[in-house]
Amino acid sequence: MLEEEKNSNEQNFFDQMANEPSPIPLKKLQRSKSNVVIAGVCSGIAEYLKMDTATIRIIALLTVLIGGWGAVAYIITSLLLPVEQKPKQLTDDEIYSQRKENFMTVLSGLLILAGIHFALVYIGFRSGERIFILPNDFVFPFVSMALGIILLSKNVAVFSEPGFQTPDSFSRSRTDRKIMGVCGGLSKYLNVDSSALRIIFILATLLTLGIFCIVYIYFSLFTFYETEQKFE
Amino acid sequence: MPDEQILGGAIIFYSLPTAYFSLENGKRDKLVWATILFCVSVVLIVKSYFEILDTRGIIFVSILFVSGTVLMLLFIENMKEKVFFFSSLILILLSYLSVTFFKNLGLFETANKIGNLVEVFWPVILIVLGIGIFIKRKK
Repeated sequence: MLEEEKNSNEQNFFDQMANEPSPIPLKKLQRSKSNVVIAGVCSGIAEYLKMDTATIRIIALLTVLIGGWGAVAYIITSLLLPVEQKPKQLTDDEIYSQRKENFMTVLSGLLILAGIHFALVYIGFRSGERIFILPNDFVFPFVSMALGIILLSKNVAVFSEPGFQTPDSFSRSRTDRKIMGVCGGLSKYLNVDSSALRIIFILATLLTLGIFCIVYIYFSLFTFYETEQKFE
Repeated sequence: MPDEQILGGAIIFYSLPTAYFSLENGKRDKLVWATILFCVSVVLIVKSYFEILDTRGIIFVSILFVSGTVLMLLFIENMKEKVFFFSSLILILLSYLSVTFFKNLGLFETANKIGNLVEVFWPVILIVLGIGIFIKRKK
């Protein structure tokens, strides 16, 4: 009887110890479950190192330039690391903004990666026939398949922001403007990034010998500025 | 079947229904990207069927025509915005004139010189675009 009571007391003590928060928070390297693009490895590393997740993701993408060994390391790490036990509880808006940020991070990483790769190919430091350690003809079908899967999956629902209403009419922007606010207004009307739109516009202007300037002047002459917001 | 035809066919298969449903749902961002993709795929398929000597010249005309088409579809999506209709007419008309009347003015030669510069510096443009998107990712 005494033995049983002693055992149960010991059990209660250990249970209590397990439930009590540790005075020194333990840093665990684990895969994230709340902020995932592929397997949550980059997010886990960022949490462990207390760094920005996007920066780790960009660095991970740029490892492709050294022969794709980063991808192999990623697969091995995702198999070895445990998954986070208590993921952060996020609201719908937080999930949406996180998903959008992740999409923008991956897109920017891919653009930087492609830019550096082709710059190195032009200089002659890299072979144009290989992107990874494998030849282009072998890699491109996989890239196309991955793009198709991403497009079909719901992870690219970044285009439809919950609660975001595109304006009914087109007007020039007062707040986001460089010259006459046409690109800023157009980006708001179309719900696209204004800086990307400006770069595309400048490129199109250069390649068409300035014909796009006519369109810009036309837009700025025949559209009004957006109505001023009044704050009380 | 050449790669350009397969790629063009796949893009048409994706972009055409996307543009149609975006018109119905009023999602202008998707409508713009789908229209651009559709036009690019048409250019790819046409290029694979015909032997075009001045390939740089296609870019000049295509940019004008694609932009005009995008603006026309934006007008169809929102008929109140007459500014899109008239600007699209200007661009489509200029794209037609550039291959007929303006061809003898040496328009393509000058455009080709700028095209040569872009051909050299386009990786830099990609990097700048990527850094720009990365900085503004949280907005």
